Amino acid sequence: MSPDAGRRALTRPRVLLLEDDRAIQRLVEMVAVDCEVDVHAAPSLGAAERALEAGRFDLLLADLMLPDGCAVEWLQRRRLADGAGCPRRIVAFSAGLGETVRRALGTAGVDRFLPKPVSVDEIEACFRVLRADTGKSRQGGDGPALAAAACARAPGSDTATSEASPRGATERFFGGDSHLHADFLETWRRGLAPEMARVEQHLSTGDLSAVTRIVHGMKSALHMLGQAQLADLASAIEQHCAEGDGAPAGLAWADLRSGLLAWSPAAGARQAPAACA
Amino acid sequence: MALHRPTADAIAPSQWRGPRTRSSGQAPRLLLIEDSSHFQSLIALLVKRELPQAELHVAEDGISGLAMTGRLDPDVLMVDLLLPGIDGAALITRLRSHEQFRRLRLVMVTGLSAAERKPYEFALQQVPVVHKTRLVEDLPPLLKSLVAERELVS
Repeated sequence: MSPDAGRRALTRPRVLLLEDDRAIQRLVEMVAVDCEVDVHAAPSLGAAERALEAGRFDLLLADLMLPDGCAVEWLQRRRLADGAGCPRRIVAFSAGLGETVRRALGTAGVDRFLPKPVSVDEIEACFRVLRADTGKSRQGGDGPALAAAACARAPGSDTATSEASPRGATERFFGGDSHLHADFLETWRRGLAPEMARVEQHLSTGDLSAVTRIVHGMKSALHMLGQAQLADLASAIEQHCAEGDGAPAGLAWADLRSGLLAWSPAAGARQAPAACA
Repeated sequence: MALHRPTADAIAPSQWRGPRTRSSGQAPRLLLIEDSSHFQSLIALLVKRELPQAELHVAEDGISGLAMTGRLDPDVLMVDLLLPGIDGAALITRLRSHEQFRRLRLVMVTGLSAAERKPYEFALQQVPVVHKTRLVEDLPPLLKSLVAERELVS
């Protein structure tokens, strides 16, 4: 990791996601990657307790019904115990909550609700607020005021509707189905390391037809995932291969590989053992 | 939906079964020939969601895809154009040269643009083509109509 990347990672807001639904976890994690927010998922109250003891979080994003209890009571208990270790901001997922529960959540420190089914828009808005808030407070400014201003913006009013945004890609390529988008992203990330290894193997043996086939598939997938610049790099590799130019294809692959690893660092970790074997 | 991975047991055309006798209640059988694990996964997700009763079989290259077509006699065959072994166009041409596969319902799945598909046009006559970036919107209704057509025939 470069020093700049290291600094960015250290200053990213940290979110504790208290949610046992794996699909929602994936969705939140997917949006977090694009919003440059770190998410730690806790599938139970017990796991959340342990996470809060182990580290600092800027936001708690909580479902209310967990396998080992009710988050409302848990939050109230923590608040009574002076809220030690609890993030300053708490957002609860809600699904048709009554006024009584909302009041109880208010007294437990919850300051915002995200409706279920959860939308990418809402999560993005929540993370934008968090980033603005966290950045300002780390510079010594008035974080909550900025956050309140950001909150006042209606979901969907953001200008970041380019193809590169998760919402743009979801609408354009996944029929607006953010769960399908998240599932595809997860399978893409799982398959990325072996695919990268195959490209490198074929480049080393000069099998440019095989490189073309793999990179061509990558290009389509990257377009669908909103990574237009990476898709363009894949397209350049295809072009070099079509012209029989192995050396420029290799150089362009180095660029694409760096871009893929910057976007999906886990692929590098997964690829390392294969490269050592 | 049942997902079946291939066994690498390529068989010669002479060993191909003839067309199955299908009963109308039988689960539709789909075969996907696609080397990209990403698009295998996406299509599996779509089939699971939109045609949960279907069996989906997957082959990762043209040669084993050809063999599996003979062995499975699928109701619908989805073929990628750029494949290792033999490409999708050659595969379709080969299948059509055999009487028992003349009426096979085919879908071409590709990331190639219309201009890039020109060299393969000889094989794509009357074959619906779904661009990979349009899979989510276009593939499910197409599969449903092809499966419904099969039901009507049987």
